[in-house]
Amino acid sequence: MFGQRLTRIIGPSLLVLSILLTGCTRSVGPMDWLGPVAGDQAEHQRWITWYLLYLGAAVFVFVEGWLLYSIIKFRRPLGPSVLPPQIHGHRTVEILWTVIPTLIVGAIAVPSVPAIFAFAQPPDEAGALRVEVLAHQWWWEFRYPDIVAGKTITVANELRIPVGRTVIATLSSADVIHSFWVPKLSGKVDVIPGRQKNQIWFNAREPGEYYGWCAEFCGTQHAQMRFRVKALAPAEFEAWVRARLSPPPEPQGAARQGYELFGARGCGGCHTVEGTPYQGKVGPNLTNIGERSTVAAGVLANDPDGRGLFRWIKNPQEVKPGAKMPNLGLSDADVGAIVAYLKTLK
Amino acid sequence: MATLGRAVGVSPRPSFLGYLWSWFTTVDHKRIGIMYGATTLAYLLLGGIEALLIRLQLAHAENKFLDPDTYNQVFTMHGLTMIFLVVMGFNATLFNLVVPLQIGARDVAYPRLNALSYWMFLFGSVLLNLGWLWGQAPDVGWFGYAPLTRVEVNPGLGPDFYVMGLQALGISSVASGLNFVATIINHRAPGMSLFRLPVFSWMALFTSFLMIFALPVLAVGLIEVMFDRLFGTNFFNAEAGANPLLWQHLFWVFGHPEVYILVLPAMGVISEVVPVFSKKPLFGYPFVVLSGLFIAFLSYGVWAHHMFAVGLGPVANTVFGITTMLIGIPTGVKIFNWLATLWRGELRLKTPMLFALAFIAVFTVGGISGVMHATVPSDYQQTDTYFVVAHFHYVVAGIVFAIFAGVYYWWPKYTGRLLDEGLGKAHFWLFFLGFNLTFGPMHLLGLWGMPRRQYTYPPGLGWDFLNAFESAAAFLMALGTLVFLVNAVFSLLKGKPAGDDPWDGRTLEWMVPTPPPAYNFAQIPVVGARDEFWVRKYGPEGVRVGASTHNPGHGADNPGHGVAIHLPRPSYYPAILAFGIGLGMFGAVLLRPVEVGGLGPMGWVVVGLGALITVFAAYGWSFEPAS
Repeated sequence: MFGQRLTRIIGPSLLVLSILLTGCTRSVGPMDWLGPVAGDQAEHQRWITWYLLYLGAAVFVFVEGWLLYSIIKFRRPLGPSVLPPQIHGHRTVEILWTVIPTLIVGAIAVPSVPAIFAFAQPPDEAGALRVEVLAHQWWWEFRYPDIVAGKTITVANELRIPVGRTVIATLSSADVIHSFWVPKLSGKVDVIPGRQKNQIWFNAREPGEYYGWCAEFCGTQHAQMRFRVKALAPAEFEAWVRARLSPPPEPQGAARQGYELFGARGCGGCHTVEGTPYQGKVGPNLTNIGERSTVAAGVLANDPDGRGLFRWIKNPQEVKPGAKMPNLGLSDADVGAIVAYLKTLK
Repeated sequence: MATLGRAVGVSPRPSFLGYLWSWFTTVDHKRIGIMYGATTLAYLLLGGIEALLIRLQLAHAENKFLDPDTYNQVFTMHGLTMIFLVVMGFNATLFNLVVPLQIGARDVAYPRLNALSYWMFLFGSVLLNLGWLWGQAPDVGWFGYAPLTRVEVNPGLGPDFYVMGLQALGISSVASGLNFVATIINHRAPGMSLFRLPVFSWMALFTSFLMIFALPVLAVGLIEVMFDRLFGTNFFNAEAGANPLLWQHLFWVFGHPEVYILVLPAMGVISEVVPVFSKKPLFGYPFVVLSGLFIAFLSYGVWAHHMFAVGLGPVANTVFGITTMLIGIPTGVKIFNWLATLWRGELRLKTPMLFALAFIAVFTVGGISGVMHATVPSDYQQTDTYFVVAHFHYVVAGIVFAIFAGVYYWWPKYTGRLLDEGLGKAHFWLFFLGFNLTFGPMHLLGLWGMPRRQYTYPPGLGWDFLNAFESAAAFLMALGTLVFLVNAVFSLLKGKPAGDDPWDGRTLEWMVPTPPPAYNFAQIPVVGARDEFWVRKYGPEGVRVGASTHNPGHGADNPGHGVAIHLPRPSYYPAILAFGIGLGMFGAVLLRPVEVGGLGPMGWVVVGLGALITVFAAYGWSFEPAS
């Protein structure tokens, strides 16, 4: 009879748990790292987590089952009670339930220790693509140093990488501590200001656009410090590098007017557009803003008609209160012209 | 002479002011405990309101209910309040109310220092919250990572209130730790050897040692932040060559033992409540005690598990991962011993027992997710997501179950009245359901990649439904807490009289009259067994021996009781001393420039005033006659 009651409790709870867990095998969204992922490290982390979840579920069912069973079996709701046997302890069971958790801990440590060392050592160091990440309150700067003999590409908030190749990123911060995290590709590594430059490596097994997010609280707009990693086929990536190294097109028509305003309204004081006199270093480099999928550090879609850019430039403080970009009080016409110019930068 | 035998006829007529004054000057551990309890309850409500504000903001994507700066203040203050003011405040409440009675003492070792601890706690908590008046409460998260606390990135007063508030609370905790170590080591009743000490008092002893050794490390870090902000030093200035990770090491060398400062007393409560409501002694008493010691000891060797992602390297991460997993073993031992205590017991599912059982249930979940976090490769993904938020709420908010277990259990002893069982059960079920429906889904949100500390999130990432669901569920917990308030007021006004021993208790506090007299024990009992009171009632073999349930030394067999018991006399110096220190610290906040809301150099006037009051009170204290 006790056995029956026990099954009545444990059976359904195992069922509910397994339904909950199988629910997680499909991808819930672009940040979900428990469903299908795209990087070697993320895959490794995913299966270790699944292993932990199953072990944890077993422990959960065992302990909670024992607890519930005891409550149901030994409760005395009413009436005068008899004194139960006064048991003070039992040496053998104490040893048993010290040894069993120790074994479980061992079973967890065994796969996790090699993984710690594997994650610390990038595979294929010689052939890896090296990038520098410089985190700012509240946006990301990415550099490809010496990508072609002596030439460096600088972009903001969107990192392009070739599929299949290991990427080694060196992380540094211009202000406070941030954390670099692209859940579909790998776990996170903190970005520390000062001399400690952390490294993270990752790769993408298939082409696609992966979400990145600052994962360490870094002040007012921490929540909107996002980025994207775009994995391209190797040939596409090479073409992109060549395009980046050539000067931007000469602005025409409305874009020409926007180009002038970009200087006249002071945008160029903070932002760089390569191949132009605008060489500001305070804000993101805008040389390829026209081809990025987002603006304002992954916050607004950079849609083809320029609505996202318009909304951002018109009033950045409405989109990201506290952001370092001020509201310049530009007229709609001026903003429109600047957007037209920026859209040509690809 | 503060002896209790003064002739009744010459006592002054009681007045309300005199009544207030008696609280202000009290050095009685029970009254200090009640003041701690009232303060803690107020902060539980404040921290709860902050929690509801957080949940309202996150109820749907891109909500504009709170602006980012307000949200960051609210989540920071929610964490600080719940950890430093509610859970630590409640632990101090119970230490004060219960420990001296449990060990058969008349008071703590240093009664005036005990009063100082309370007043420092009060003024520290006020200082921590005072920033709200400027609209600049601390906004750097409860662990305030440097260099986010540096003045050039955070020029407001928030970090200053953070530094000074925590420093003041630290003084309170260290003083109280020293006091309870001295009390438990030296003031046990004759015959109460250490291995006859009730488990709650054991956990109070371990916690006191943890406080003595952990909080000074935080104090060092806070002083460095303060010097950086006020006097332009460069402890955390990366541009001057500092490594800001220094703060994280200092903070977590304090911060991880802090977690056990929070949870060990809760485990003590459970180890008292579960045996009483099972009518069985605690199973494996020495193992429960020693596992507590093991946890306390290990807690100093695990701090870097908060820092797996900061780049300490694979060797350090491996070592700290494994030491952290090891904590799972003594924790498991405790849980199994509680379960074994239930086994073949006579469970009475009164409200204290329900809360205690719920603590075991939710703490198990927190333990499992804790071991998942100790697994470094997995933690690289989990850390700083809602999975951590779920984990520490199952642990720290889980402690609230132990808190309520303790409240329902000991309330009748100190108020003389029972809390209502019906309302208690309603409270329990609302809170238990609300808790699991709020924090349970956070595990999934974390696995689905939702980072913590986000004032806003975009729609369409799979997070929308669960966030809305959690926000609704949080109100169940709020409702449960309201039911508790109603219950408390009802009990104080019209509750059923409790009697001396309403639960058939096992330990000495149930042996004295309800509410306990100022002197606790008319005669200090001689202890011959663990669970002394139980053995007096039922005999060493667990066979009821009818007649010995009376309280020796009380009542008719000792008509002259209470005469010539020496008690420390009331003193207002502790409160004045604490006020002086608090005022001086507030003055240090005001040293910040006028543009951000400080007084600039004029702040030194306030610092000086505080120092004067401190010196005056310390002088008066030193020369105050002992009785």
